[in-house]
Amino acid sequence: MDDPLTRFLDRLEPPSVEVPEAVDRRILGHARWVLLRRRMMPVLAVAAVLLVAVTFGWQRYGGRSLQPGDVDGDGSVNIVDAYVLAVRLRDGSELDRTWDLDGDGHVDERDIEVLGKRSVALR
Amino acid sequence: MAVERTDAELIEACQRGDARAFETLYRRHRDWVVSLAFRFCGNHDDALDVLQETFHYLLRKLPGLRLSAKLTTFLYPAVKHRAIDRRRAATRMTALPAEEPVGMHGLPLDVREVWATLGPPQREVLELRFLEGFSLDEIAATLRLPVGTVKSRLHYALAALRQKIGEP
Repeated sequence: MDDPLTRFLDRLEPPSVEVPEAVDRRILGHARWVLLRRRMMPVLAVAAVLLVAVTFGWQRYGGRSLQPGDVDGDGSVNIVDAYVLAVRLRDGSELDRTWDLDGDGHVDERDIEVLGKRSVALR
Repeated sequence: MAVERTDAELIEACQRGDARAFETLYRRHRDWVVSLAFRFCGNHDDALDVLQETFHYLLRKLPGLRLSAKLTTFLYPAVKHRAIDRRRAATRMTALPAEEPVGMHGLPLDVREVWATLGPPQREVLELRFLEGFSLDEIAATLRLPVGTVKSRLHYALAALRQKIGEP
């Protein structure tokens, strides 16, 4: 079909505009940064929560083990804890309420006994 | 032979943080965006700014974006409005003729003369159909009109155009 209308419409061409490489780099660089930030957002959120939890825990427990009876803070409860507690009681050192293992409200010799029994008990 | 990913697949990859997918989308549509921007604003530097703003806009919209058609139908209004805003701002600051119809920059002069005699809705459907190569469904999605309305608008636009160029 070679009518004037078709010829006219055939002449419609979108203008060609050159895009400098610097513009490409700017747009794609921005995109990489935005997408990376979005991808990292969940990781950063988890890290922030962990940081808050650790900071709070440190402030609350002063770096001491959370396991009741772990007097020497090595992460486990054993006969050494009973010995360290005995030494602390003898020396009059500062005592932690988490070492009150029999729950009578005091940290004393009875807690050493509980610790000793626990550390040698069959599990 | 590697199968080319569709716009929708690339959008989903971008949503997972894939920067290469974004680059593919950018390279695929860059020339179309900048050419469209130039037609509406008539200035090379402004067209490049619109290009940048359009892809920043796409990045902002990415998280909730679900493509139901081609990306061009989503980008068309964004490019058009940004380019027209630039044109208006330039008109306010300089002595550019504000009444010159938009969307014609870069077209041959005699084509522009005929084009200028058509109404804006008629020009727009003709441009989308014959300049941008959109299907009727894509024009309907772009302009948010029923396909029937697009068909009838195109019919009347072609009849008017036929008359303007002196075809019996």
